[in-house]
Amino acid sequence: MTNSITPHKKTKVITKKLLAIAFWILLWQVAYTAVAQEILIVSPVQVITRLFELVRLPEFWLSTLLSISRIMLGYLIAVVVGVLLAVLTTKISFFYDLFYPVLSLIKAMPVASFIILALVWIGRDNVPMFISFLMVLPIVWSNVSAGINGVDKGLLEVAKVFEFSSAKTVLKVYVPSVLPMFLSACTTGLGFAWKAGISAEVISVPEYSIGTQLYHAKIYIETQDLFAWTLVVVLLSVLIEKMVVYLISKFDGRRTS
Amino acid sequence: MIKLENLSKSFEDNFVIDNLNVDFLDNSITCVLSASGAGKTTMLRIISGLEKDYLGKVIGAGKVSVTFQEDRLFDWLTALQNIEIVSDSKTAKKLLEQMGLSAQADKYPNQLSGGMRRRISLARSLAVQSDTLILDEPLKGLDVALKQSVYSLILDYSKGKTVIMTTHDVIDAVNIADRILYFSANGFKIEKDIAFEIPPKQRDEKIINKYMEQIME
Repeated sequence: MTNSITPHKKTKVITKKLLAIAFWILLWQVAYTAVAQEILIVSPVQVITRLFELVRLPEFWLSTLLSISRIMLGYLIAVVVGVLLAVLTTKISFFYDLFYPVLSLIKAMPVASFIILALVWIGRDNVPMFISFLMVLPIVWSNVSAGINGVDKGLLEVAKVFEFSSAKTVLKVYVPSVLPMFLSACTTGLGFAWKAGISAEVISVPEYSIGTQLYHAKIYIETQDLFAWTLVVVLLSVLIEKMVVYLISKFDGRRTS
Repeated sequence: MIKLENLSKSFEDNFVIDNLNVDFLDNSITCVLSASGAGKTTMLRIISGLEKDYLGKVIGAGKVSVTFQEDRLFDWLTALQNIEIVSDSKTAKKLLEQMGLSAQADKYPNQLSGGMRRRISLARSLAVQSDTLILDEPLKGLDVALKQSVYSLILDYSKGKTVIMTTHDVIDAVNIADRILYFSANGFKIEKDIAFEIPPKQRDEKIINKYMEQIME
């Protein structure tokens, strides 16, 4: 089956989306006019103007790039470690018993507790990376574990009868079976990593980061900056997610026939 | 030749197979008939090496190839890739053509009909060079119109192998089997052991009817 949309329908969909966005921006403008206090709320135009000022500053790019690289590094490490842990804990019950409580604890503990603890343990520059790692790890671990446990036993018997090598069984049976759950963990984890990472930056205040900029905007009561930086976080979140989804669709293309 | 010696298998104190002794000859297709749930699949799983927990001996199975009762195709591979995963590309393409599925080579299993999937599953087991070929209801769900060509394919690819096949349809058995073993539902005992003298490809309608009567007796 194909999901082809006619150009006419496509324009209609885009128009609907744009109208919805226009409605909320308009409401924002109305709220701004009604409140009329720039400490509480600034106008959409002011935010965009401020954003254009910010992008001219080298500090903007330094903060943004360092935030992205820290959070994405934590994310990538979590993806790798999560997969390794999933393999280990599904195949050797000793490791499952050993790691299960830790992962449950990570899932249950509030992010703020971790951020403050990490601040004490590892110093402010590495906290966002660590937090992004901790957010993504249990998601990847549990999804990939479920994927491995859910591999069709009948197909494993096929692999056995036709004498697949261990490597071939992993590549041709396990990987394709687990891939959908792994990819969904990657997409879900990304949003968590990004938001928790920025929160960690606000609390840990590394020298250059988006979170630090948000923190400064707060203490100097620069509402215009607060809105502009928030917009940056949202835009980057959308952009990074679109990029990851695009990469995944390329990677997973052969399945969507 | 495959020799089963004093073979027993129980599930929770219930002996599905109770002290079975039987030989399956080389270069011969043995068709196993019995009531469903009697122990056919269990015996085939033991010979395939998938069931380890049994009493007695299995001798001489060698390299085994299997058509499982379920198709067990890889959803993420095309029809052709599903065969290529066990053989070279040339054999896979040839088999797909012989099964009349060349046009479906690049289709995925979920885009194919039940009968097509069955033929791919069968083709996969025929593509492998093996000593023993196990066919657990290989013709399940196949169109009657297709059966003759599939019979002759099974016969061609069975040469030199020890073939053990199950079926629910006696017509399949009289068309391709060299020998028929009828098992009892209770304890999986051999009730009938009939060897057909005339090779499958030389049987005309008269002989097939005669063999049918022999089984039905």
